[in-house]
Amino acid sequence: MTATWTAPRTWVAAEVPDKAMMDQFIRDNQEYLKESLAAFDSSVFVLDSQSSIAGVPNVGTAKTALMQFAVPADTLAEIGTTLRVTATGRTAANANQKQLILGWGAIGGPSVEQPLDTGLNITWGSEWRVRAWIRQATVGSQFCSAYALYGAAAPAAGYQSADRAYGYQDEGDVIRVALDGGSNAGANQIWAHSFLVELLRAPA
Amino acid sequence: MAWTAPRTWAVSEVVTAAIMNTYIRDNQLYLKTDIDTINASSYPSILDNEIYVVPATNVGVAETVLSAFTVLADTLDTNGLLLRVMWSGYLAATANNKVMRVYFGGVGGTKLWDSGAMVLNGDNWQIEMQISRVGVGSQYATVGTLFGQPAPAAKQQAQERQSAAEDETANLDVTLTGQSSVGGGEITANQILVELL
Repeated sequence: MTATWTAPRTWVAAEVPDKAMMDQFIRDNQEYLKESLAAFDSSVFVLDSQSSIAGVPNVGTAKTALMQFAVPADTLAEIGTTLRVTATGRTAANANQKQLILGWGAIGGPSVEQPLDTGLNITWGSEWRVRAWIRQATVGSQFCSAYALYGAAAPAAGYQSADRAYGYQDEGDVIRVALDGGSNAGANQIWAHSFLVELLRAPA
Repeated sequence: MAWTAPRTWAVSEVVTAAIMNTYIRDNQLYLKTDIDTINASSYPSILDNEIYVVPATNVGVAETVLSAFTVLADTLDTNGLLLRVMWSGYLAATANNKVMRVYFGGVGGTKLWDSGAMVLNGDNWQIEMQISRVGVGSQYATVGTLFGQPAPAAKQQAQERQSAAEDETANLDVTLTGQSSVGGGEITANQILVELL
């Protein structure tokens, strides 16, 4: 930080500002504010935080967007900018097959990109956690690494799934990031309880 | 202090004290207050955020540095400061033994995690690690590792915790290595993310 902040001047009637005043109170303070904002070029911001005590369930046998967020257009315009998604939830205490998919795609459409898909491999009464990093790799492409952990409280049957994949969405569009849940047994088999989307700016 | 939409100035306009106070003084104070508030909320900084265009793979039978980031001297100059590191990558689809290790202070420094010989075949992996300063020359680290393909067969995860006594007034590398007694190409790193909280 090279610019110095001075408490803004309270101007008085009939005052004629001189050069020194304009430099100190206008130019230098503007420079200070601009430099201060640059410090956030490598910061983390929360874009979305949802939670539900009851949970958001899957509906029918089709895959359901349990929780989702519309990332504003051009959020990923800078190469290296990363979305970090953390989601948690639970599954019904039965042997029915359940599935989680972390994906992204155009708003209103399906999750075209699906880097993390557990398949119908989640079964009995698990608590689960999904974490994903979606990083803008090049213009029009994103790289995602993700994992899912799921297991009952007793760690006898805990499982995990890690994956990585490229996706190809236009960062100039609104991008829908979603956690989809599904079960071939129908509704109310898998619930999302929280969904957090952070924006990691690229290093300056 | 309220924000007022910045004024569009008119030709030959003679500014008054009221105008200057509303559009200059008050708006400057508004911006400064907001910036100070954000600064005070302890936002983490991204120190490194890369995907490897050419993924880093172990070479030969020796231990190979797959990924390293140099934490500059005095970065951890206050107790409670925390480094959060994430790596991701994949393993070759072979039944060969694979070993991965994480160090603070480079390969000669404190070993925070050692997978031992793993016979994992074609799995993706993810590592999340936190190193916090607890005193002068004293750090505490936790490392979580997870291996698994989409289908959950016999996969592996581990949680480790470790104390370190590295000199934070010197540059310190956080380092990930891979090794296989069979040779190269068994363990590959794709990505590193380093945050300072």
